[in-house]
Amino acid sequence: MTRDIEELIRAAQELRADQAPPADRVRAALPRRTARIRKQRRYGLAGAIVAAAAVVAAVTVPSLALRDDTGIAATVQPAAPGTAPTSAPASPGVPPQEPVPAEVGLGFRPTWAPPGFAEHIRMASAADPGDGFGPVLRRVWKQNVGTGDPWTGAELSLSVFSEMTGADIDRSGQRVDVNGVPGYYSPSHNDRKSSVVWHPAQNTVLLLSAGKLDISKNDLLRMARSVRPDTGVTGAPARLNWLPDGWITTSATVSGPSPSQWRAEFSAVKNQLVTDTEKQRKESKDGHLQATGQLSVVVGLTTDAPSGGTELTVGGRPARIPVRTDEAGKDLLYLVVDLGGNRLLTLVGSGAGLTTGDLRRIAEQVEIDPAGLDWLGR
Amino acid sequence: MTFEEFVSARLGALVRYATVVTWDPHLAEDITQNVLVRAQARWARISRMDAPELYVKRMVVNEFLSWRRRRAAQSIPLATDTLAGHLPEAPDPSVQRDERDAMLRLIATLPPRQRAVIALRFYEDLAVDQIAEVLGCRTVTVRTHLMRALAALQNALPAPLVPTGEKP
Repeated sequence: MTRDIEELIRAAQELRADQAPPADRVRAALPRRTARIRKQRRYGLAGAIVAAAAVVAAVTVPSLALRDDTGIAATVQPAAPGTAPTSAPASPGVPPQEPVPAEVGLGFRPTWAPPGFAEHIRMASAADPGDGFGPVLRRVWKQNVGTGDPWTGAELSLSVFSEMTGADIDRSGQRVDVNGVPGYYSPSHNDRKSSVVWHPAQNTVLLLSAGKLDISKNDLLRMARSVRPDTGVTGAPARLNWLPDGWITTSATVSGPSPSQWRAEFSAVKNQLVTDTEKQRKESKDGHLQATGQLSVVVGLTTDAPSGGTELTVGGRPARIPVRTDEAGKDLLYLVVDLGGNRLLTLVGSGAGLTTGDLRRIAEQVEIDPAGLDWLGR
Repeated sequence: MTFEEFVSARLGALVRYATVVTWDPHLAEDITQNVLVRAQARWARISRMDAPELYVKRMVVNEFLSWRRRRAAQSIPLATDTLAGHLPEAPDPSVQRDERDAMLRLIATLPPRQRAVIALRFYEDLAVDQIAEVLGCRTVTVRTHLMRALAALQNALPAPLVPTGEKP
């Protein structure tokens, strides 16, 4: 009983503040960060884990194709043709946003990765018409992943930027040679983040980044220099065939330790033109476009939803509606559906008038198609 | 004030503030960068406001309490291992440091909104109505968060370390 509790809090806060990252590092990263932030806003949940990024120029159109393979393992309720989510309606002066396509061309792949690393994540993200960065495919090599959220631990990722306009490559790093073309290497600043960005061909930009990993410059460049064209395509083992009006899928992430232990996560948003609070309106009359509703749909062997909840049936399968009462999660809507075979479908969302009925309808029309996952863990 | 002038003058304080709000230096760096990139894009509007810095700090809190991060809080427990990495390996002989380090750990266990409220109240020295303005909620809500946070901290302090304190 030696000190006032408020004084103690202040002392702890000052100590914590002293552990803040160096401001010059934060400032130095801002130019490169611009691309990352824009992507984060598009990618939703998964974007928070992106390790490093660069801004890029110009275009390579990835080969997009519709998959015609079959082998549906579990279908809650097949959707009627033509009900797939479409472009979000445009606000005045804002072009519509296209959802992430069902399949995306891989474009490139490294032929060498450090021992112990295997490909465990692929994330395809939709283009945001407002930023000119275009769609992005991110392939991630890790030492291991579990069956849940894969975005933890050390990683090496190759991001393929395509259809980019109005931006340029980040040239703040050390100039290096990547198979005869100039690249730019950014070393770690005691934060275990490093990257190299380069144009492998006209209108194509690749970013190889390390996160939470102490990797030598030589090894990172070796991996970069091993990158070769890859004509394959990749898609998710699940598909959202229906979303509420105005919602679009902005990213699709496939991960897992092996083909049989896959996890698919979709992020969807509803973008709306919004204005600020009354006080802010007095200071600034214009509104801006932002995601007023957000949704995550995960198919996997685990769920991070709370336990319990109201039990029901969705598409003939057992389901429950868990409820969070904690301050952070009390307005989040959850729905968990048991797809059978130990596979669970978890939906969590909020905002833009999203209802449990919407979650139920989304769940009813999710289609499972676990083909083409041989790359997981290789 | 241009955006560059703002960053030159205030970034250090902003990063410290974000670290206290989030209680996580890595997250603070992430959020500060996110917020600055967004603020730069809107700087023409923000710079015309009465208090641009307060607006940016509001952006930091909002980002911290955003949907994406709130959801992550459900599945990713607070990284006490990471926190422990910043603490002395051996017990500090100083009683004051013991208390402070205990408090350092306890604040990490608070729900995000309570942590934000005590950051605004004690680190930023904002009044309750100002905190309500920043968080976009009623003053009674702020008082509730503040009381709960103080009660939780007081109750959780090791018995020999429990100090007296005034109520909000």
